[in-house]
Amino acid sequence: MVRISQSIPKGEREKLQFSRWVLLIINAAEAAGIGRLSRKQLHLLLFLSFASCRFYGIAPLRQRARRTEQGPYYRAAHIALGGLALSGLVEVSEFSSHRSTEHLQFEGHFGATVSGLKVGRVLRSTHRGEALYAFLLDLCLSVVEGAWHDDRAHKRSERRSLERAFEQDLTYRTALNRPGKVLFVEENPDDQETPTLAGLRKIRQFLDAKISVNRRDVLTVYQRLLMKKAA
Amino acid sequence: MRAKIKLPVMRRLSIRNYSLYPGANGQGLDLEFPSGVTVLAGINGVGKTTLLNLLMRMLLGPTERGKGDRDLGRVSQRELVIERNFSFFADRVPEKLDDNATATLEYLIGEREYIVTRYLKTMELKSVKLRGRTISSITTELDFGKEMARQAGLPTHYDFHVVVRFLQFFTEERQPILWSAATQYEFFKTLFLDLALTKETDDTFRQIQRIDSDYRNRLNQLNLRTERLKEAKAKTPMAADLAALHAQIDAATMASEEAGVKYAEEREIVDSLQLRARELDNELNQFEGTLADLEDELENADAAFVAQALPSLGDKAKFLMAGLSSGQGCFVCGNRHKGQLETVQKQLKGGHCFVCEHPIVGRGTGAKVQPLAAAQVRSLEQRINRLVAQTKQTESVRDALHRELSAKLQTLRAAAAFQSQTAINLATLQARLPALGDASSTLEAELVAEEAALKVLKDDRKKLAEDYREQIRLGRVEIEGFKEKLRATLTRYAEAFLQEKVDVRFGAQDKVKIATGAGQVGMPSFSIAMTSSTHQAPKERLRSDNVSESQKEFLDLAFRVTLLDMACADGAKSLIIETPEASLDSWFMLRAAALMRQFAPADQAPMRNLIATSNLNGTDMIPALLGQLDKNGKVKHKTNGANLVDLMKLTASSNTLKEGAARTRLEQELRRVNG
Amino acid sequence: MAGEQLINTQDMADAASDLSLVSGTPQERFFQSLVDYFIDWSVVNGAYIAAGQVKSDQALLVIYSESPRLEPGLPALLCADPEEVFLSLCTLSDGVAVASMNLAEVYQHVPNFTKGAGEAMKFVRSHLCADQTFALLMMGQNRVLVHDQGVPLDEWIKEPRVIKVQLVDESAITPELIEKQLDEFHNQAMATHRGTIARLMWKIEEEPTLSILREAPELHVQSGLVTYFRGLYRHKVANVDEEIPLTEGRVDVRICRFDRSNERFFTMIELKVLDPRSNDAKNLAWAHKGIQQAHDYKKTVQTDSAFACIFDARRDQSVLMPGLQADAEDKGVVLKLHPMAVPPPRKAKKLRTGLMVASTVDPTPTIKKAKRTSSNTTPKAPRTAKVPKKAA
Repeated sequence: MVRISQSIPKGEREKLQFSRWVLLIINAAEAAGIGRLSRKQLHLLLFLSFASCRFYGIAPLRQRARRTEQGPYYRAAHIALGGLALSGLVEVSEFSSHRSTEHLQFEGHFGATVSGLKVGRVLRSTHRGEALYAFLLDLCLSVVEGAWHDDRAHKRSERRSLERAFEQDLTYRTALNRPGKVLFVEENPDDQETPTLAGLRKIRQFLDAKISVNRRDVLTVYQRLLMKKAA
Repeated sequence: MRAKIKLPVMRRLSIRNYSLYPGANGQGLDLEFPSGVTVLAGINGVGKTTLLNLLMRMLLGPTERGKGDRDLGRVSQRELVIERNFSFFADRVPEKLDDNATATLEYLIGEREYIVTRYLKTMELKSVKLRGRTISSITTELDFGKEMARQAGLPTHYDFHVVVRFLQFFTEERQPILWSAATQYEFFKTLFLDLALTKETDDTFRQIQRIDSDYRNRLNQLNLRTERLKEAKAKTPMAADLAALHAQIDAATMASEEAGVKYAEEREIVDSLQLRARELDNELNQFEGTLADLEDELENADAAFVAQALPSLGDKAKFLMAGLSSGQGCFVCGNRHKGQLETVQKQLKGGHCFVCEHPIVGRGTGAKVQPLAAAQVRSLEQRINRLVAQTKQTESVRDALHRELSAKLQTLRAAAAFQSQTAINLATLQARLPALGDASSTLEAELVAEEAALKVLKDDRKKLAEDYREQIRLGRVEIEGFKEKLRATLTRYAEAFLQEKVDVRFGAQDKVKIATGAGQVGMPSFSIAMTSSTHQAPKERLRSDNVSESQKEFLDLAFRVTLLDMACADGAKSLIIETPEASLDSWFMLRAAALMRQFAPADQAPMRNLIATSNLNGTDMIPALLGQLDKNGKVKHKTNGANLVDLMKLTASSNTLKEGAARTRLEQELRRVNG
Repeated sequence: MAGEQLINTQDMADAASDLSLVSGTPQERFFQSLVDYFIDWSVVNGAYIAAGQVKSDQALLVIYSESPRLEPGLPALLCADPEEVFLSLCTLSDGVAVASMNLAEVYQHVPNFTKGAGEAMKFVRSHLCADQTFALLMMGQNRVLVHDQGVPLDEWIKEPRVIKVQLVDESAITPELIEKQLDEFHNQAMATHRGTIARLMWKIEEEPTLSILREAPELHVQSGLVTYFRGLYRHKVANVDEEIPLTEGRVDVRICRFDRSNERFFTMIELKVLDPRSNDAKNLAWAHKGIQQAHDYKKTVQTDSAFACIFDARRDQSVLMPGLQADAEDKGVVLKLHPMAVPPPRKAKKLRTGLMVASTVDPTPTIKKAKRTSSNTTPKAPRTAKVPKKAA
């Protein structure tokens, strides 16, 4: 087997993994029909994905979001998006910046591009990439079938209710209640348990007793519950 | 004969801060013992015995003879021990004694005036003064004892102790002297005989005891072993039984061998299982190691794959440049002006970010990274998956193996136990076989050797016994030198008491056993013979079993007094008596009192005093002791030389009612005498 | 705790009340979603249909894309003016549309086929490629003709995979009915080597190399079966457990239904394909495993029947496997043994002048989950992303 000629330092690896996660989530949002994501929706969706990925046997990334008035903020996402945007893999629209001394804050909408989709497919050609995309796609599909279930009739431009549902996520709510700037997904690395995971398992238990479901269906029910709470 | 002995003579006793003896006005007790008789009168429980004990302990301290209350006549170890937790006097009062509770005794040894003070709590020495000055060299009890013995002219501290305690003091714990030839001889040795001979005699005696004891023990052992050997021999089974036994042994041997084989089999199984388990463990460790490595590699490969999939900086730059140079414009702002092109190019060439001018390190152009095919990453991922599956499988095999192993270990343990059991059975059966000739002959040889050794011991013992007899004989010879004096004195005292003619004899007719197995020796000793009251037959010798109890006591007292007279003829002496309870009839009582008075005449030098306690019992003992009655019971004029100490006034009264009644009685008694 | 408030039984029951429950590969789920739409459309336009207003050749072509907006998969001139479609209106019933997997995003590019289904087929032939996933909904025939990625278009045109859309009353389902339907499925999809599913499974080699099954043949069967049932029962029935990795060797279809008294029943169908490359012992073991797995299901969930469907693709199917029936009976499993015809190898290419038809004759269909194998025979169209040739 060919060995790669150089070793990537750990910091670099994490950046690359984060970039992959961001690109694939944007592609998955496109494939599920969500389309563009606002910055807030994207960050919330990232948080949600970290809080639930263990349900699919995927380990979340290490990066943690900071708490801001405008919702959770991943600095790593900012960097990744910049790179992806400059590379033409992600499309940015309606960009505006926040005057925030602490964080590089901005608003904008992020969507997929053709090159981004192509690069995404390349990334999906490894097991890991494939598994990650499958999860993120299921997540986005569950958002559409779950949180947007009633909204599908409306015009796309009016689909703004997503973040309200995302903000009801159990892990997010728990993290907000904790003091400090950092929003924790997992208490500690050994824990591997998040409130979202606990919730998903509960739903799964319930559903298995009634019908036969897949994981995606569990996510869908969860999204519906979040939406109901947000309403 | 040796130099005269000087025994301590009591002068004064003071007690302070001791609630048993608060004294007349609570300031403590002060008792004087002038020459003559001092009677300490009181009822039962007032503390007479304790007071006498105190007197004694002031001289002796909290010491005891080693080996306790053994017969005075049979002492092989002449040693004293200091009782560390002596609490006799502390126990007799309810309060906790402190260092203020003291007693002080003034006494004489010869010309030397001593004052000894002790703490009542433990009888520890507080101070020892000679003629008013503290003797600094005496700091311990042993020092004191040695010094006293030396001054008294006695060989050892032990001797001092014995003489004071059993000769000077005639108390409840007294031991008969007259009535025991051996004890008599002990005192002879202590008081009169040549020191060298005494030492020799004592040494010989000690040796004999030792050898005798040793001999007897070993003989005992020898007998036991011989007995056992005989028994074992006796138990030899008959021929038929023997055959049966052999058959049993054969069967047991086979069983044992089979068990051994089975155990070996099980052992092998377990060993191979354990080996396999270890192999699997090793395999798993290797898997783990490989897996860790592969996962590391995957992390790197995965990152590299992503890296090369994503456009690098160079790509971005190219993208930008393409836009700028083609006239499409800056993809950021759309500006089509080519003027910026150079600037940007310069930035990039210089290794700076064209946006923020920060120097760029890192991946640079994509040229260095080998293009990584997805297939390669996938194959790595697959390898890992396979390895994980393999690991899982191996783990389950290993777990199954462990279960099997623990079951087999049980079996092995059972087999081991069984094997051990059969071995024991076999050994037991074999033990029943008659001992082989060699074994028993070894044993017998041992026994024979021991017998020979014992014979030697016996001979030694015999020889020593002979020596001892010789030494006694020499002692006797010595005593012959002064026996007349002794005989005369004893006769005088005895006749005074018995009011009959007596015949004091000296001889070695009393046989004393030297040691349990060492034969006897005739102890030279004194005995009193008297005509029987009924017939003129040859004088019947008085023995302890043909006199009444109180006669016995007083005759013994007479002998003591005799010894004291002899030993310290020119010296002063004290005699302290706890008057035996009145089992004497009144006649004997008067005799006894007279005897005691005789011992201590008041106005004669050198000083003699007799300190006697007496119960208020409605008899005339006290007046008699005080000399107010003659030997016939008639009132005499009050004579000197008699002190009465009313202890009831001086001690803690616990029973005032009784005291009141007793007081009345005393006064009655005294009034009777005094008229 | 927030969790408890959020997740209570009543809410969960409500939220779960109408899940779509599509399952299987993305492609299959696409087909299942279309079947659902077809049923919805039929219901909504019931009167219209009953009045005979839907012609037999009315056809709607829906093309699958991961991004209908960015990658429509159609020639550029046709994509000039896409029209956003709102499927909930149930008005889409003609022409050409491009849709995402869950039909959340649909764009119509051709409003209708004026000449009906024939025009649709020509459209397919002219503008689409075998690599694409698409379906032709025959609105007046209660049929959906689905095209699996990789099936050559000519072949598909001649013999499309048909999903009947014909709702059966769920409460009428019995194990016997299921068995009958399994047989029908087998006939259509599996019996011949060009059966609509079977053709996805075979790799036909050139003489003298014999044909072999591709990787994970059971997955194709599983997908096909589920979509097939979808047409009959919609979401009331049948799903695939997507979680079980293939390495476990378990491939199943679960039919979950409620009878008239609302009691729940499961029917488990365990699928096994016997590989021509494996020896008889291995195949026998594989078949027994299928029976065992079906049996194991019965222990865990309330099943009223368990099937072990063994698709026999061995070269020599005359060798009987006698123990199987007895084993199945012992374990209370219904054994369905379906023979599959093994395709003969291609004739060896005599050197004819330049014509390489390999690429169309030798399909290399892939299921998304299956590993890409590199072909070791004739070169084919390069396998990269599913980007249609003429994308902008």
